[in-house]
Amino acid sequence: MKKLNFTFLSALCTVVALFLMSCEKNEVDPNIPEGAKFALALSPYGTESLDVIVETDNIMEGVISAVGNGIEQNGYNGYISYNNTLFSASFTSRSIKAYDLKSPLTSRGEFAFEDELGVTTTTDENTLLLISGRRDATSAKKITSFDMNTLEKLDDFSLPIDLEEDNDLSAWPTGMIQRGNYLFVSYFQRTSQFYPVDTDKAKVAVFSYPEMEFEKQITDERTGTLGIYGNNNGLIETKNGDIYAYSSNSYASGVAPSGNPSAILRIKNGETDFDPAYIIDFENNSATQGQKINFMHYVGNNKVIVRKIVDDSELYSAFGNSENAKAICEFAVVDLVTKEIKNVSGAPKHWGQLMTPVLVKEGKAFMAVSNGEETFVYQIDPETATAVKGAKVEGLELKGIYSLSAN
Amino acid sequence: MKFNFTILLFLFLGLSNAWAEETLKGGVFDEKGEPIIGATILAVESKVGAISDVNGEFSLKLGEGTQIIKIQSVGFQSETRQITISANINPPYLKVTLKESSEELDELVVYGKSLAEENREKAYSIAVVESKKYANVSVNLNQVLNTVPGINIREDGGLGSSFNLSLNGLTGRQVRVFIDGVPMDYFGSALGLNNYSANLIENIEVYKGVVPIDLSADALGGAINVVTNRKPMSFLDASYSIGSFNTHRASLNAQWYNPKSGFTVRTMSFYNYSDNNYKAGVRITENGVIPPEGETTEVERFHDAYESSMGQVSFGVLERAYADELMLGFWYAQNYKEIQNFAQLDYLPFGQINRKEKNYLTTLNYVKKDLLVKGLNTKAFIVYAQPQIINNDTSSRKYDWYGNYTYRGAEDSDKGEYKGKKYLTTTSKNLLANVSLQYAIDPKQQVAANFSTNWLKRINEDPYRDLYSEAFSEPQFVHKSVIGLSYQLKLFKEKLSTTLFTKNYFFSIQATNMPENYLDEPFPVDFSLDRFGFGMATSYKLSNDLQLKISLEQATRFPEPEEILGDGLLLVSNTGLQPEISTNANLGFRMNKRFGAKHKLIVEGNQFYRGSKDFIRKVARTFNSQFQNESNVSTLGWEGSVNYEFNNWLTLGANLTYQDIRSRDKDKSYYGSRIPNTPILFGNMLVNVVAKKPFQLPGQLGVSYTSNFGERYYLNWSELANDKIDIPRQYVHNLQLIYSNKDGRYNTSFSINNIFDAKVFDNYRLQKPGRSFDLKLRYFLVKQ
Repeated sequence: MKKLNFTFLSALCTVVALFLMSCEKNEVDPNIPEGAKFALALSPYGTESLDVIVETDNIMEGVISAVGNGIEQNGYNGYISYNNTLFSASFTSRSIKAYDLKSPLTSRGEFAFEDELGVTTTTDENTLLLISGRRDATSAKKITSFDMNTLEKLDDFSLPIDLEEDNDLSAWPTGMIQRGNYLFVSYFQRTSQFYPVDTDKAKVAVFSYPEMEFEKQITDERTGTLGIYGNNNGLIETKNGDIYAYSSNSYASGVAPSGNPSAILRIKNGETDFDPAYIIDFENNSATQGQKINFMHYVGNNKVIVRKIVDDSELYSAFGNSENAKAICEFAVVDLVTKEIKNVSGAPKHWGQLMTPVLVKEGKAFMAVSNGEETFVYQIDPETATAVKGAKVEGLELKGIYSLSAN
Repeated sequence: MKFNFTILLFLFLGLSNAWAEETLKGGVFDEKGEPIIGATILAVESKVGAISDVNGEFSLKLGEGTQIIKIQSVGFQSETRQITISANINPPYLKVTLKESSEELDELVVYGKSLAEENREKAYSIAVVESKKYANVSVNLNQVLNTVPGINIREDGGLGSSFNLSLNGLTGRQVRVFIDGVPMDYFGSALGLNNYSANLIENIEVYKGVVPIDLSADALGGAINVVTNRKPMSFLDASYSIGSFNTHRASLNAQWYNPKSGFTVRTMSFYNYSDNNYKAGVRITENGVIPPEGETTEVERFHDAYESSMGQVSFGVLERAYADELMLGFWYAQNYKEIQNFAQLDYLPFGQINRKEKNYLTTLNYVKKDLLVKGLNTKAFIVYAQPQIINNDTSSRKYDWYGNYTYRGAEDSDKGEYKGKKYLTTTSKNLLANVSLQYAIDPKQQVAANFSTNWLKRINEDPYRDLYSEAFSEPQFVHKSVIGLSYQLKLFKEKLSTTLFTKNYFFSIQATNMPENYLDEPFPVDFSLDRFGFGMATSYKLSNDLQLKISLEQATRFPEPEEILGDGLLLVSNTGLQPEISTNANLGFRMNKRFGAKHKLIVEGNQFYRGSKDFIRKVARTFNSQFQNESNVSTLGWEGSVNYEFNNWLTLGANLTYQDIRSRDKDKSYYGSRIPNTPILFGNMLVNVVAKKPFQLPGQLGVSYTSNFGERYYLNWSELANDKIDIPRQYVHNLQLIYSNKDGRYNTSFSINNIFDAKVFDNYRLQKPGRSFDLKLRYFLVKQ
């Protein structure tokens, strides 16, 4: 009988122990600082399939980590913000979650888009326009408008720009601006295998707005394809209504370069054609000497921050966290009016990035600098063209920095 | 005629170590003169034994001298006879009549163990499921396996849905599945475990972490061997079940055996169909807005049907001088699966996407004990398989959850419900061969060798993707071989049994890879690798009731062609993928004890460790996914089970598994996190009551209640973020009634699964069926 008791007891102990082990801490205290001032979307080390949005007080000091902290995003997402709303787009679930940019961050809803996300913009009527389409097929793109407040879909239109089914060619958008009665979409033509073709000219499709009827295609042979895959910044608009477009024309940004230089073009306010008198030849310039634009972001005062490519030897090497990624980027500041290009000092060579990695606050730009091992926030002063190292981010990529308003 | 099925499961030690001089022939009969099948005839001193056949007859080779022969059978009192064997004189025919006994249970304990029990006592960490218990119930092998401690099967939905089996924390391809020792790696889902009805199967052996050399494949985390009925006997086993969601399942398993010539014809076949149109909660978008978490609408799944069928015929001989078994078999299997939606995308239903598979197999099996030399046992097989898989997504319709649809556009180029249009056909040719030899040096020592080889040629075609297909339309060749050697030693009156083994793995692949970089040309992939593995398994019997076991293995698994080369679609290649290596250890005990005549208690516990290097894991990337090596993953787990039987009519059982699988890669932010989307704690419970002659009716009635439990776990790395997505805790309760008549010839069962209609998820946002009903009829005849 003694043996029986022992056995029963040990069996019972095993079961109890197993249950106890399972009852570990499930809830971690929300680690959000009271009245956090910033939200950062980051990919922790080793996660190509998970992003976390964390909140913090200070982006210039300390260490920002997603361990036990932040809101899990469903997949490797793209981020963009308009009008104090942060949109987190999941490529896995083909949906976008909207967060009010106040602390603590709370989701105010989720909406679906079709196929793969292309580019977005906002309109005068405070609607969100989104172009999506099939990345791995030859088909028309679709433009959908959403109410920014209710997130409801308002309308959609087919966008058959540069579609040549028989030749396996279709467009991929790289930027979109609504200005007055027109919608401008920069794009490149490519095969279903995502091989850009016809790369020796800049192309913009012009649509009437809000009817979304195709008006015309404008091209410019002074530079190459406009914008880059995975970014909205193929077209930007300055305060006076001028639209600027850039061509990267680089392997690193995914395009076999044409003979034309990486450059910035303009569509003047009120016009629907490229300004033939305006070009900034970024590549052939004493400050850059053959370097190319990877990405540009308007920081006000007619200035853009440029992430430039200093070594264009490898395809796709400027797309953030990927196996091709190389630390081949540096910063520059370009004055769109005076055409002056100034190299930014104080930041090391680093990776390129997807989506919108710039926060402009009080005249300063805050950007992520990652080299695949370490990631830091850098503060860039566009006036002095200097960069200062800020907080360390525990992750391979810092995909967006957002300012939170006090609640 | 008296027939007792259980007794056929008996195994006798020392069969192969006999001194054979003369053949004693005889017959065993009951008091009415009916032959007793499966009675055991044992020469006590020389430990030579035999089992009576369907005519009650047996033959036994005995050495010279006086022999004590013991004849016994469950349900009968045993008899002893003294026989004198002289050289060159055939002993007289021995006719034995056994008297019925009421103490059959005790006989069982004293005289023998079931084959399953015998296996369980092997030094390996093994679970043996006797499918017989489930034969009358409408369950498939997956459901049976899911009750084994340490095993967790996660299904996407209803009948035929894709599933993922994990064994002690290792999962998918890391665990190899065999049917009668034949690895199923490349046979596709048409022959997947979820197609087999439990009555087609004799038993299932689950080797945890450490795999004997005769189950020869590059298994990282263990192996499951499904064993079909191969005994020399004639039988017919036919079943049909009908259930909720227009589910029909039929199976036919039959064998005709001629004891005189040994000629045998065997057939095994199944047919399964279900609409799977159960109701599931999904988020339905309104004007594009996706409702918040938890605000789901119940809809009927409308494009989730599954159909599978398989037919197998084999013929040859059993129990001949030149072969214990020599059988040639032909198989054909096919299935069709509609795809309703994908994980996570619950608001995006499809109405046309489907997947079709078919497979032709030819098999040749040879088994012989005492080949040429006494004590040399051999087993060999050759299998040639030709599987084909078609993934079909060519519709331009866009569906909603009510089955309504619109068209994407008139353009032919805009077809395909999920991504671009595809009709991808994967055709393979697969040749497998295995030879296994065992030699008993003496009763204490045994050596064994095993050689297996596996050749695969695979080619993909898609008429809509010729632009893509350049690379993956070139054939891929994969070759794997494993050579295993083992030595077994038994000491201290067989209380201690130790097996040491080594395995040498060879792997090669030749293929053309599609570069991710469109500027590069497709390039050849051609490499070979070899790895060395080793392990040991030891068991020690502390007493007749209690056994301790330790087993260790350093196991290797090579990446599959798909893992290296992708599928030409959403899975991209990774030619740098390394083989995964795991150090597996198990420490366990098993207690099988009787208390008095009526109580039986079986308690098992096992602690397992898996230290995996270059763990292969599918990683979702922005637009596609890729298999990658996770440098360091460790698993520490415990599993325990308790079973109590009372007086042969009540069974209570429970088991629980806890597994702690974490990343140990210090370079990652998720260092110390649990591996994403992996269950942590799960278990099962069983109450089974059997009533003989219920309500004055003949036959017996069984009522069984089972429940499955799964604790909540996270979809992503556990230590990252604090506002997290999880898969909630769940309980499922099931009830079964089984009525058997005429010694198990006619069987009827009625099951209610998921009695409380719980919302059950194995995978995020893929709800499994709610309450369902099943009625199964089975006819089982053994005979002449």
